[in-house]
Amino acid sequence: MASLDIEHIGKRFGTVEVLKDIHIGIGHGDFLVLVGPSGCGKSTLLNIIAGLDTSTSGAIKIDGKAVNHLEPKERDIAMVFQSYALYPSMTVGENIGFSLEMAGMPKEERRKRIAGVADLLKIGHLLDRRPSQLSGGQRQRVAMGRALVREPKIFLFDEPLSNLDAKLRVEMRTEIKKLHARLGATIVYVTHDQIEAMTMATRIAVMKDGILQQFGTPADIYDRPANSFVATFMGSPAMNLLDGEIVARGNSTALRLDGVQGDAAILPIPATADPSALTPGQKVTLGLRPEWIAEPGTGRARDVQSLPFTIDVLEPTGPDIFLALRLGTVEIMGRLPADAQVREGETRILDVDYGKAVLFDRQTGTAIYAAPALSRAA
Amino acid sequence: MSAVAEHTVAEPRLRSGAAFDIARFAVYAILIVMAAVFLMPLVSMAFTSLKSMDEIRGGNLLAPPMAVTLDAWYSAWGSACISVDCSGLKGYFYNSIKLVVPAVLISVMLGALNGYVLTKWRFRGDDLLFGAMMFGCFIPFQIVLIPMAFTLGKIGLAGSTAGLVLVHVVYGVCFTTLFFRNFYVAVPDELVKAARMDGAGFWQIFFRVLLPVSWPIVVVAVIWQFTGIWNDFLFGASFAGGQSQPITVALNNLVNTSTGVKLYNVDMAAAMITAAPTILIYLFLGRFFLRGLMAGAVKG
Repeated sequence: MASLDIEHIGKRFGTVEVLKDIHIGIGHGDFLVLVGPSGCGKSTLLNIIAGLDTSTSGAIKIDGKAVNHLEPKERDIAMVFQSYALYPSMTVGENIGFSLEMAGMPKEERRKRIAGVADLLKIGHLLDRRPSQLSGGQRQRVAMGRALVREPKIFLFDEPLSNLDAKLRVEMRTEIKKLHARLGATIVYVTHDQIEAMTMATRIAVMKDGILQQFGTPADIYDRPANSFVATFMGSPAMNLLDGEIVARGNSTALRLDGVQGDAAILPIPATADPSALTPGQKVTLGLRPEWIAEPGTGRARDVQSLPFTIDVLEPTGPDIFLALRLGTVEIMGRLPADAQVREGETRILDVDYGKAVLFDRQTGTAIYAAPALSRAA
Repeated sequence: MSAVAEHTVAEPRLRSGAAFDIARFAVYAILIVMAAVFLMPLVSMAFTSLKSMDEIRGGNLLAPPMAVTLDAWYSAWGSACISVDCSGLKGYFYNSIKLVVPAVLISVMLGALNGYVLTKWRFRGDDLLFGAMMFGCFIPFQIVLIPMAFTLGKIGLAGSTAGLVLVHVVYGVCFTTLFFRNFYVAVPDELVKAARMDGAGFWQIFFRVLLPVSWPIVVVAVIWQFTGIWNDFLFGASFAGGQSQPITVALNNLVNTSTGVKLYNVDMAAAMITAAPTILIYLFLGRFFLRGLMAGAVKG
């Protein structure tokens, strides 16, 4: 267990800046997920933490001590790789014990540690096999065993589940989460899968183009995305973004949606936004999550806007129905329970949980939030 | 080999009762004829080496020996005259062993190390260095003769087995580097990263992680180097002094030592003794050779 501070890390390859001033700090036992689309720099950042790559600027601190100049093995960090990277010529037991052997641990003690980890991961019966004789899920476990056996301060995971099939991935996800709870270990986990990020993390760092977009708890990231990229990247189906403009209404302001006719086009400023930061004529984007749309009378939301939607397509997924909706000419995804009374082709009133709606500046994409205290009061 | 055998056994059974397959017959006929053509010189050599001189004079090249005798083999091995020294190829055979074994081991080891560094410990200019080494593969033997002689003289290795080993290592390391680099390029970098995280150093990663998975390419490199160095004549003739000459040079001298009658049976036996080690290497390691050459080819 240890704390990890990533302080103003920058990385350049020639003139290409792959990481820009990344600043993240996590405490003992935190589960940090670095998430972002491919090429966002998350794996490079992980390699820098591991010591396999060097940063151009900034510092990595473990328990407050800078480790930049230390070799990977001196950092007391273990890593699980995407391809598992098991040594093909060694048995499972030798794979797991390799780091201990390198550290010069006596054979008998090594055997005990290996057996302990194998028990924990339920791979005791595989210790004499070679990696080529294992299934994908078993290899995954061995790779984790190799990291666990060292009892390091910090675990690093580089997209460890991306090579598994969907069912196994969900199982291993739960298992890693249990393991985290049981060991209380500090973990940094890289993925491009936002569901993995949401389900496992205690802290999420969303990255794009080498820039940290937002760092916070899963709830923060989901409910108060810092910008429209985070808003659409996290959540499936993605958050709907509706273009609009701030207009004057009486002596206050309101939001007019583009592509919508009549009364439905005019909406109040969402409660999460800061009205004083808005000026009439300002181009904005309204963010609505699909699950905030509900049949009238079924939602629990207090701040509701009832709007006429045309239902184009229904996509039943089992527990839910995804709806391809239209508001005027604007296309919106909705998500209703499977028993919702809706038909393709009809136009009907649906409730929008407007209390959670988020307003973004259309030019910068930045969310326009009222001060946290105010938004809670509302 | 095994794939061909399976086909010949399985296919006719499937088609039993079908019309005689002319195309198949033609293919086998051509293959058999070609095999015979290629085997003829070897058969002729083997037959001749087992005949007495009388029988050679009286018979035809391809006729099997009537009275088999190993006299020519004993003579070629132990008593044939090579220039003035009449003690056969024996000593030169050992010379070649003493030359080939260290030269193969050193050049393969260096090639493996080079390949390891060029793929897993990348540094500035590594591609340029590799390109320069590849250039060495295309330099003909003859071009390096004089600079090599000069160098060997300067470092005091002229005319010695050690000098000849050095020449073959220098010349062979380009090829072994090429083999190993192309092999290690297909080995995932994550394997090396994992070993670094596990606390292994440069040599431990090489010996414990990479070398144990390299056997297909080690076989290729060993066969390539062994046949190349064993069969070499030019460097042997140029750089080896009288008593350290390799067997190829001795064979030439044996065949060209013309006092009195030309002993064809001894010449043929000597040629077969000279060729035997490379044939044996192929017999024992050949099946791995193709596998090794193909390894990594599909992974691009």
